[in-house]
Amino acid sequence: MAMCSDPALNARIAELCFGGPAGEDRTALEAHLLVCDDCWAEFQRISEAVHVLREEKTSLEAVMAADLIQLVGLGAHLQRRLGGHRAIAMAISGGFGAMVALALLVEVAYQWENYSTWVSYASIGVGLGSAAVCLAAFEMMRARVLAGRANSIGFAIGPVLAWAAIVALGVAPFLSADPIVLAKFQTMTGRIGWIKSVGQALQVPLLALIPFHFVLTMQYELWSNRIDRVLRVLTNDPMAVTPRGTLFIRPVLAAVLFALLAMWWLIGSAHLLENLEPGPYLALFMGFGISRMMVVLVVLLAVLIWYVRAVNELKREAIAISAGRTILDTH
Amino acid sequence: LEFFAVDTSRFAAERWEGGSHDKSAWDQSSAQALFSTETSAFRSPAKRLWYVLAHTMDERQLRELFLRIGQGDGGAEREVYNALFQRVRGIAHVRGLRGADLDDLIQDVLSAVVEQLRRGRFLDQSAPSTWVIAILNNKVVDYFRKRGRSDGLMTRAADQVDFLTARSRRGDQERRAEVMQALARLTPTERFVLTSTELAGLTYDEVADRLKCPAGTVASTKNRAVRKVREFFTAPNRRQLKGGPDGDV
Repeated sequence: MAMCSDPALNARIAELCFGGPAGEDRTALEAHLLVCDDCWAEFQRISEAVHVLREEKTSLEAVMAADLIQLVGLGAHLQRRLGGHRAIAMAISGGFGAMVALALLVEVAYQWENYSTWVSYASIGVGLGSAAVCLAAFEMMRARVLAGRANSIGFAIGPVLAWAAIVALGVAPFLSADPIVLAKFQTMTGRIGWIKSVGQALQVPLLALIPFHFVLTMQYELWSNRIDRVLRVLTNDPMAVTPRGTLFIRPVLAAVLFALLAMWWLIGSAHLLENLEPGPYLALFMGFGISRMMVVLVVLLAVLIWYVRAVNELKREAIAISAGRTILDTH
Repeated sequence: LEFFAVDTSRFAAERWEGGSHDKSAWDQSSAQALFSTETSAFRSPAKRLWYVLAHTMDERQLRELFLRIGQGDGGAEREVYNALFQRVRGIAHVRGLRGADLDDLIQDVLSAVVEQLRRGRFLDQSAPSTWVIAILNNKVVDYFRKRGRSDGLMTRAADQVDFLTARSRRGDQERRAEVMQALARLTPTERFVLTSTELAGLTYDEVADRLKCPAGTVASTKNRAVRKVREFFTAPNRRQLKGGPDGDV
């Protein structure tokens, strides 16, 4: 290290090489350079480095781009609320809320005159509550992923399941113990039908949580500089290992699963609608039922599109960052 | 030790001694001869080391030399030239002067220094080094005013021939590897701030806009990056420094 007699000036030599400072500070530094051999030697060394830095424009531009991607790309978005996926998280939560609200309306639609006094308000309440709990669960999961916790998905599923149980068991006593829906086959009682419908509504957040958790985890890996791991997982490398507690469903498999679920909903709804008995509120029941099915299909499709795009974006960023790191590492 | 610096000083001194005090005599061929490593007479490391040790001086010695020039001592002029030539050149280079312009300016500055010393204009009230830098400042400002350039352009334009090029070419791969190692030790934020300001020429505000943070944060990040680069290049054994960025991105 330098043996300069003025450590304060010596500490600022590098600053001078990089074009700063200005005014009197600069004059003092330059004057010092004329009489201090140690600082002059240091000045020469760092000036050369600065010179090389400015000459290495082509390769360093790739490094610069890689750094920028890492700083403002998906990895950095993990610091934001909902990991930068606010729109899809709200769509999933809203979908779950709508499913629970519509489930209550569907169950009582055939006897609307008996339940209309309270069920509209109740459906809005359970719907908003479900959406809020789901959103909170997503945010809780993001916070745990950011903290590097392995079991973060469990902490998101837990509150959603607990809320669903509370809502299902809390509302059930107010519903009929006899079948409400009239069909050519034996239908469930109002209470059982409601509990089953809440369970069906859970399909939306539970299916969406797995890809959401995976994307958040990959963002965390990017943010933590584990670029190779991300690349291996996303390019299906045989040596790839997903982070602990993370399940990677490939986009193709996700599409197949979502398609099967959509078919199950379509076939089930068609079967029910074909076998309904006439009644004064048949149209209302069909309206609620079809709306519920549409919510499921739209949300699942949105999740699938978001998932494919997010995985591609993660891969693109990982490749760009990796290219920048390679330039630095090969030297 | 960077011996090329000594070679150029010596040739500059010989040129000076030869009586070419007139700036107009300092033509392009002289400048080329001055900085050509092929013509170096100090190829032996021992001779070079001796030369360096014999021609370094502190503020007190410089003051004595200035006073001797004022009393008409021609030998002191040569010593001043030897002591100041390369350093003034390095400083002017950092300010954005390149190639023949740089040579002209150095010649101009050193001629002015010696001329003013001869006329007894160094009043011994300020440090000799500060006095020389003040003359350099005036000359640089004159130069850019004549050229019609703005002050902001001074530290840019790295494409032209300069005093570092010869050395950089010599150890090109090694220098590049060192710079990459130094950059690899920075965090992505530090590296981006450093490369975007130095390479892309972005202002702190522009970088702050991209990173969505205050300009003050960008400035402090760059200071930290510059400090780390300095630590790397002044470390006794760079290879043993821990690699990779410390802390979060």
